[in-house]
Amino acid sequence: MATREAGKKMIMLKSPDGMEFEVEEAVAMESQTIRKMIEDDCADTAILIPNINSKILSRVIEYCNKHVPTTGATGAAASDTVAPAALAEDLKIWDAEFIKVNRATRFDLIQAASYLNIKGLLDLTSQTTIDTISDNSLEEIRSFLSTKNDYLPEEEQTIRRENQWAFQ
Amino acid sequence: MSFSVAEETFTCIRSPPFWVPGAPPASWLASSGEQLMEMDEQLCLVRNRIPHGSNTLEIWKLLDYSSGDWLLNHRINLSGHLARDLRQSQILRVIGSFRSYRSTRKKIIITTSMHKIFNKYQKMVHTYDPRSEALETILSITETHSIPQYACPSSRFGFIQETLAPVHRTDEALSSDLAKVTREILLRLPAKSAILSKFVCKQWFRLIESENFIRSYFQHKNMDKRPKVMLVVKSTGQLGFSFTPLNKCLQEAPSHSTLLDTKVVCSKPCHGLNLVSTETKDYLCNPCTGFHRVYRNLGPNLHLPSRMPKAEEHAFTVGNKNVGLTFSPSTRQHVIVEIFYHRKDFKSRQYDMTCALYWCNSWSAAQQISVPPLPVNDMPPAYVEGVLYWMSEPRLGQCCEWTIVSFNLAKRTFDVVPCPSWFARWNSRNRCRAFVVELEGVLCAVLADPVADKLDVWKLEHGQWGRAYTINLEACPGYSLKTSVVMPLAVDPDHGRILLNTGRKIGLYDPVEQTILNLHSLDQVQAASSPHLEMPSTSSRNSLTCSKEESAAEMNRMDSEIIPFVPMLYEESLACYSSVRKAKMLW
Repeated sequence: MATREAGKKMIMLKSPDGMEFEVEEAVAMESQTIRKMIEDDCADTAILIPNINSKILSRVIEYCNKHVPTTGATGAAASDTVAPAALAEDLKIWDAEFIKVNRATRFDLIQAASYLNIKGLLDLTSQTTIDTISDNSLEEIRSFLSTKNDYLPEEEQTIRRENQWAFQ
Repeated sequence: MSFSVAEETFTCIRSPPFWVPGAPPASWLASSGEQLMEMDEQLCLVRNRIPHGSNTLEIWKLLDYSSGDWLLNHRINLSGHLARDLRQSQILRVIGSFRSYRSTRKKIIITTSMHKIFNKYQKMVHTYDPRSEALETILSITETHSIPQYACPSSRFGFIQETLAPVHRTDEALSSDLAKVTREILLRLPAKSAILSKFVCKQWFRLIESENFIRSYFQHKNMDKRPKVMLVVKSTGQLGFSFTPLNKCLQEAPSHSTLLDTKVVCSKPCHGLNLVSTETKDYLCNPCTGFHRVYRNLGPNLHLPSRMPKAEEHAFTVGNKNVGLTFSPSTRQHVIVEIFYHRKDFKSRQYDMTCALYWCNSWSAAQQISVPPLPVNDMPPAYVEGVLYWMSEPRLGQCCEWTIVSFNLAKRTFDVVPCPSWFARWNSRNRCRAFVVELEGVLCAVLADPVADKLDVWKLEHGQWGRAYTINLEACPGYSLKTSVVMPLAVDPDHGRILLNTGRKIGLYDPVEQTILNLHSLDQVQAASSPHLEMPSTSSRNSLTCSKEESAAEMNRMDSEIIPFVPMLYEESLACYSSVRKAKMLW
């Protein structure tokens, strides 16, 4: 187990494009993936984060920095006490601002959140996408996600028959 | 003997000519046996003649499946000096042939295994060139087997083929980065939208239909374990009713067209699906997606005159039946267990019942099974981990005590579970009612005492009954046990509040304060649907309306009539049964 000192322990995160980010251990541990690595003592010097480029990684760290439980005056990690309502409201506004990114970035963020297992970020990014597509028609969803309708008419008919109850 | 995968039939092939019909094999020793194998895409039979003193290995080829003609393809001479290892080995196998890229010459591969000393075995691979009749040893290793072997362990060499064919049917597209993102998004969609998203493209269809996704979806949506309630309302569709979320129902002024005109009883969710029952039918429903399937009850035997006392009407019974929904993990399907009373006579304690199973993913008829050892009462059963539990009816049959009747689907057997001993002394007093419920995944026995207006809830954990809750309803208007049956539906994990259902009202009981927060009341609906009255404003965000001050007098009607809206607990899931493919279930 990594020693828990009163001081802030720093962790080095490396993106595959060679950038290094020094973050507080508590911030890095917002990611369940990294938390597991730290707890299993697999994170001595630097942790290489594959698949996540420095641009996205910096945004992820920005998110974790904001969402890390507030530390008390002593510097020790605060317990999981519920943040006051005002703070929660503030976070919400911050999140809304944070997620104002283009589609490609948002997809990268979802992927990163999924790999690093950061539930809050995953919920935020995925839900935002749902909100943008949920009121749209299938055609709009297809064009938004740049997927093509590859059903033959008779195939679509079969599935429609199979799932008839969903249209009632 | 051969089996055709295409035709799914077994056929017999003529034996090779050296087999004398009826004669037993020369020896049962492994090394002397004949071995079937495939070589050059043809069926071959390898005949080891060493035990018979001829030092040859014969490979017979089946020329034609229909005629059954065998041809001696190769006779490998093992008498030479180089073949000593092959002669001495306990196990000798021809595993196939190969052609190297440079030459077109075929070589036959033979593997051997030979006991050397103690736990050491020599394993070798040889090639045989049929044209030059040359034997060559290409690999020889000594293996140590730690476990003592009674027989010589066989060689572990085999052919491999480099291929990208996956072991499981995986979809390259589904494991791409975009697909991972898509999956995360689809997991968060409401169930109906997720079903409709199947139409976007084939990749999405495969993703959404995959068992893995259906399972993840269920886990993701039900992680919080918070009880979710829908109302069953009337609809003009084929089904006759539909489901509407509680808050939606409270926000919109209900109209008479949505009031049910048949009595329905709903089960708790079981692996993502609910059972909605009317007097003659049971409907397996997924209230989130709209999936449903109808099962017609076997009903009373018309040859027997039905002798039934007037049913005690309450919100949780319909018809002369008692149905429960259970789940078979091995076949991954829901099963409806229907107990039907043909006769009940409380005076003579005589009764007559039948029991049937409906396998929900099959269209075959219901399966009649032997009846439970004790008569069950008219309260719905509870499902806990593959077992259904009912409370017995002490007014019928030999036994005058409350006992819990269980049905284990895997074993197809009924059994009995004794009630908490506390129950025995209340049996004949105070017109108490007893039933079973599932709370927090545990079997609970409930004793309802209308005089004290109190529900005693006991839970069965590790084979021991312990007191779980006492629900004091004296100060809860509309929930009095004097006028209705009150069913604890679920426990809210956040505050430990208990969701109570009377059929007419549904509310959260706070065990500390002993008060009820009303979530939905039929009286609101009836007041609202009456044209002369204003709809009470229920615009609070989560649509909770507190009506502690409501007068009890208003509620003092037995629930004998049809209940126009029936609250139902549900789980958000994609569970459904397809009419052609196999079940797409949760786990």
